[in-house]
This record gives sequence, C-alpha cells and structure tokens, in this order.
Amino acid sequence: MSAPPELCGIFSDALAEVLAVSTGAQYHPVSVRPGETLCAVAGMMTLAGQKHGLLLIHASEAAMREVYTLMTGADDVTDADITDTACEIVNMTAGSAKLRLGGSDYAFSLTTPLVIKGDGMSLFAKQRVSVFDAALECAGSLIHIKLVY
Amino acid sequence: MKLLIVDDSSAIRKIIKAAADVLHMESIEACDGVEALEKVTESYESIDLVLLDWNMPEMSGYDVLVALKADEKYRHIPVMMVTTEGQKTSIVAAVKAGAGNYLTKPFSVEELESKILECIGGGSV
Repeated sequence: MSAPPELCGIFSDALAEVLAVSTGAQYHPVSVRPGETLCAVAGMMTLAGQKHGLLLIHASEAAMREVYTLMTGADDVTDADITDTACEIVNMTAGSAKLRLGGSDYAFSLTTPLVIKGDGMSLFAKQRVSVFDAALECAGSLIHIKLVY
Repeated sequence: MKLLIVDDSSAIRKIIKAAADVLHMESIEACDGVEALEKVTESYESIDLVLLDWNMPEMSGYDVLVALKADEKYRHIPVMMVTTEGQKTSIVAAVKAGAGNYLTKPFSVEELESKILECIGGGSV
C-alpha cells in the first residue's frame, strides 16, 4: 500500500520548525520536481517502525554551510562542520516528526544518521515504493527533503 | 561554574559552549558517553552541571545518566538531558533515572540559557 502524501508535509513541517528554531531564519516551502537529483550533501536516517522509511535531507554545500553559520554564528566552516550539520539537521527533523507521528501507523524510532557527499547523486527506489520530494527556501538557499516508504 | 557538554555533534557543542560563555561559565566537552564518564572521573569535583545528549555512539546519554546516579561520588552533579528524544516516555525515563531537567532539540539559545540557569539554581522539569 502506498504511503499517504501527507507524510511528506509532516516531515517538511518538522524541518521548517528545526530550521526556524535552530537558525532563527524562516525557510518557506517551494515546489520541486519529483525525483530531483540529490544535492552535494545529504543527511539520511532510516525510520525504523512498523513501516520502515528513509529520510534524506539534502542541500548544496553552500546552503548547508549557511545553516551551520546561522546555527553557531561561526563564519569559519570546515568540511567536518558541514557533515555534522547535515547529520544534526536530519536527526532533529526525524525527532520532531517522531513526536508528530507517535501512535500512528507510521510511528518510528530514531536510528544513527549517515551523511553522503558528492555532486550529481541520484536515488533509485524499487517499483511501487513511495518517494516524496519537498524543499524549503530562505534567501535563495534551498534545503530539500526526500522521503521514501 | 563549570559545565560538561556531552554531544556527538560539534555544532551543538559549539552552540552550548557559546551559551555558557554568555553566562560566564567555564565548559569542557565530550563527544560520546565513554568520554563523558572519563571527564567526570577526572573533574567531578569541579563540574556543576552535565548537559547530556541521548543518542550517541559508544554509550548512550541515558546509560551515562544511570552510571552517574549509581555512583555516590557523582550522583550530586545535576544532569540536564539535551536531546531529540522528545516523547513523554523518554522524559519520564530520564527523570526517573535522575535527570533534573530536560531540553528537546531543536532549542533556541534563549531556551537553553534559561534551562541552564534553572539547573544551576536548582529548578526541575
């Protein structure tokens, strides 16, 4: 059975909250093409529950650098900082979504996040797997969500 | 006043350290549960508050909390959980294990500073 499209909205709202609280900036939803290529940095987490899912939050290095700078106030950003930011954003977003989905068929536990880096990456899912895409934008900086169930 | 900041995220440690600086508190850091226990063993007489993430490699923050509260030498040190695990069952489990306060990520700097002051002043969840 396909996962309901509302799920993507729940994760997107969770990401918007995480970005607003931790960076102080307002990121607004923008439309994206389904199946868009992953950006250079992707934080990912398996959503372990009755229905397993995969959450990816991906952005360009510049956009992830911007998030780190807004979160910490630091201008000097290393590659490790960018990786750490991707990890923490996916972790906090999953945590926030977990609260929203508690008690539902899509309730899940948090697992260890992972970051993948590299330009032009694509994600391929098996047939009949539900894949949702959404994105948030702040001053030209885009943060994407990809949700797979 | 000295804080022990325990989190596997360097960004989160940096944010908490900046808050400690604003509050004129000294801080030391650990990036997992095992390192946290080492820091406590080394400096327990001077640590006034432990800020503890839950999900970390090597040893979870919850296991660190249980270990601290099981040891007479360390159980007086207040612990605040700072974690993405925001559901009621986790909060109750942490409080039962001896956490004096609980802050769910994401948090604003203002919330963080206010919670730290609550802990130092003896506030509770």
